[in-house]
Amino acid sequence: MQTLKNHITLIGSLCTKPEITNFENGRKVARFRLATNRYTMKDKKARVEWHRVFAWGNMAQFMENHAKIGNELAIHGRLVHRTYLNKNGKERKITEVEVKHVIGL
Amino acid sequence: MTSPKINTSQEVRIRRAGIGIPVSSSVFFTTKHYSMNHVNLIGKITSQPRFYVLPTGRKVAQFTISTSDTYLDEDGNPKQKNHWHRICAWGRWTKVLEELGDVGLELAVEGKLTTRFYQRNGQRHFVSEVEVNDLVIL
Repeated sequence: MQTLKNHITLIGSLCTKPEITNFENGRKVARFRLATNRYTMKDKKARVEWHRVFAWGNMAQFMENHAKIGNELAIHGRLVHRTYLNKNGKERKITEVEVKHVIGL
Repeated sequence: MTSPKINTSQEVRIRRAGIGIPVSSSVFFTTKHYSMNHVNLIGKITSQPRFYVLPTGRKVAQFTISTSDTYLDEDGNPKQKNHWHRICAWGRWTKVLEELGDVGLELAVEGKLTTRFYQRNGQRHFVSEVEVNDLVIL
């Protein structure tokens, strides 16, 4: 029910290799980027939109084992925002998608 | 409207991902590539909507919506976490928001996630926004 208020669906192709991080407490996270196409009426060319996506647990395991660059994926999840320190030590805000469910097409 | 300039590293990434290439000129893909980008948010407006008029005459409204989720921390106590989402609305929705948009208004928004960047002090700042396609006042 949590995703009723904050819900996002993306269908697109994987454009980076999933980066896997293993934590000391046994949890696992996979970070990757998904590309979706966007067509405008005026010019027929596609504009590509890259989304930052991350997945926990079993989904991270799935991404590690099976996902390859160029694979088509359908994901369902929620939007989250966080801050991080960049190379120069400045705070940056980013928006990411937390995966709740993923299928390979 | 001209298509956005794509630098070479982006081009490589597009080619690797196999999308963004016109289908007729693609050797590898014969079928059309479908993609979907769909966001639903239900929450309250937490900032007064701001309106801009672009040099082309198009109007855009920007505001934020907050959603909160509850979770259990390590000791089992319920905790709340707020997320503030940036929303931008084009076209006819600016009229609606000019009249009714205010802090505290409950909204349901349907749209797509877009990312853009702006330059400040010679640095690129990336911003992700939800572009409104449909909007319901609750």
